[in-house]
Amino acid sequence: MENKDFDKFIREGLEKNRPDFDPNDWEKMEDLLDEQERQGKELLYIKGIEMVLVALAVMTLFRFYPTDVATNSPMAHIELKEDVNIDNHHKGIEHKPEINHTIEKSESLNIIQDDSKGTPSASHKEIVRASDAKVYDIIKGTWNGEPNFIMDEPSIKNTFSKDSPIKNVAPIHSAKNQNSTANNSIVPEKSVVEEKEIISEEIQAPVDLTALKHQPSELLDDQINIPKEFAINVSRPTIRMGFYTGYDFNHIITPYDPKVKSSYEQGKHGFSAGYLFSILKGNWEFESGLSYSRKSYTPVANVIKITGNTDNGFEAETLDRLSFNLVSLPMNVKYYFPRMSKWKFYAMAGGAMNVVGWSNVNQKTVEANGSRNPNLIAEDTQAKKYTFKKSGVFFGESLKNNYYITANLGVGVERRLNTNTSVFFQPKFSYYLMPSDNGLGPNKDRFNTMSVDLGFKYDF
Amino acid sequence: MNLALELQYQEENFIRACIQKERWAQKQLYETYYSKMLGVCLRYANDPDEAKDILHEGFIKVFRHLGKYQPGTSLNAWIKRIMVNTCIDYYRKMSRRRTEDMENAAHKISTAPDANSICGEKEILKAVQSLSPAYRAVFNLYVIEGYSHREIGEQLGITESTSRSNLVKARMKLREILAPKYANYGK
Repeated sequence: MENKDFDKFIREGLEKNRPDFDPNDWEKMEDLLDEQERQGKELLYIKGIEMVLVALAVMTLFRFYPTDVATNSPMAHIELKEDVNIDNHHKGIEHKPEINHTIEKSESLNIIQDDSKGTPSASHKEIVRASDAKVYDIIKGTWNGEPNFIMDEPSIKNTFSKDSPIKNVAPIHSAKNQNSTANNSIVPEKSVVEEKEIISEEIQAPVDLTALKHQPSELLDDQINIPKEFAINVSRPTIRMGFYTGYDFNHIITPYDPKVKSSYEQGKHGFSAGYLFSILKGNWEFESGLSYSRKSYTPVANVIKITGNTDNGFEAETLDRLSFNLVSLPMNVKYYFPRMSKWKFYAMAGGAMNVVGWSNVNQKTVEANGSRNPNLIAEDTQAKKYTFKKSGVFFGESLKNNYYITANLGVGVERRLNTNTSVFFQPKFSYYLMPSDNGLGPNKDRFNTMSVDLGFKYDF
Repeated sequence: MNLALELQYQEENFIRACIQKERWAQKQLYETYYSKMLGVCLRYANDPDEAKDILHEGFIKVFRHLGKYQPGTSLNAWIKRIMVNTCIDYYRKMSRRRTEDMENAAHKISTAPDANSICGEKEILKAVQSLSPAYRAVFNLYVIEGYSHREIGEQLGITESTSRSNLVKARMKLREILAPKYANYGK
């Protein structure tokens, strides 16, 4: 009973206490709201990019997944049924390599010989494939065990044109249009057509075959001599190496505590650089390497320990600055979209193991007298003592508390400079995956990183 | 139109403006509930500056989650609930930062009002603020907010018996400080 009365006495006293409105407080509130809105926009931006990248990855998966059950490859191969033969000018060539034309697009350019006029011309053919409506501006071909080649249509037109400096090109032309014999042919004796062909139009693109008349020996040596800058070896894997450097925007979440259900978040700039090693086969590339990145920032949650109390004064250990020097091992898979001239676009997905090589933890001990807000002590008190602590696996610490794994998603564009060298530009998003119950540093920080990388690659 | 419906309609429009981040509406809401909510925060905080920090953090939550409020129910109770939860979060955050020595502060308070002074609302508030954070949180949640010891234990991450013990000690301390005032209470 007595307790109830006492409680009532306190309750009444407290409820009567109504401080007057202070306009300065609204100004502070407004500043906080502005800051919240700004941070919200930044987060929205990051989430937006994240969603776009995921959407791109999903679209890529569905867009290029094989839909034709009759083919094992996403890219259906069609062999030409039509017998093809070579010009009579190549009599005496005994070598009979097999031409295996692989056409991956609904449109292709084929060269035919018009014997009646004595001049060759180019025919524009359209191959209709009911099961695959995709159009690739690429023609693939093999020649006698030589590597496969990819050529885009403008390149072929250019190569076969009258003005082209390339003269030792063997045109393929229809057997219907010429009298061929088996022993002077360097093309297959038979081939198979699986798809319907429609000759839609004939375009005038005369080919100068006189060069062939005068250079049979060259033809023998080089067979189809597609200029290297237009060709990519797709049958054998290409080893690629490169370097890159990048700007990082780190979204730092610290600390995450399921009990409190709240976390501090901030965005900080950083940078990264690295060495890349990859294997390219067809349109797919597996990429790994070794990279370095630096993440340096002042933590929002900066109080480590308080001794004393806020009424009589206290001493607090606070975090002044954290710097993480990370070594990462990425493992990504890239898909190159059919290229346009020297430009290639790609989508990338994968992961990375990130290890803290070494880190600097700068601590500051501050002293405050009287009643103070512990959250503000780093701002409004004088530092008493600074301490610097180095850690990380290079300083003998365990890997367990010094690693995290990220999922990577990205897109990019690559520009071929010459036969072997290309440069690339690549926005990439790295999302913190694990360990879920840990993080880096005293606050167990987690990092999501949006990077923009610029680098080059060299094909061996 | 029914007066209650009209008021609800007005409240809906006002809340919609707040959700759309109309600054005039946010200011009006802030001004309206400032005194009452600062009073709540003062009970849990060590001092007015800390109370204002909690108040602002609470109002940010209010503005962020205002879309979840159901018009027609008590906006005052809804905001107060958020403020109390923010105070609890703040207490837990401080506890997590290893402010273990603060609990002992109750025994060496310097700002406790003079027992012989004339007690008013401010003195009662000062007496509550002079309690250690652990005692103060339990006292406020039990006496003012009406939580049970089990609920307090869950909220603060302590056992029920600790909650009971803290309440007893808090009462004893307050009785000691506010004895003269309480002696005249009800007379």
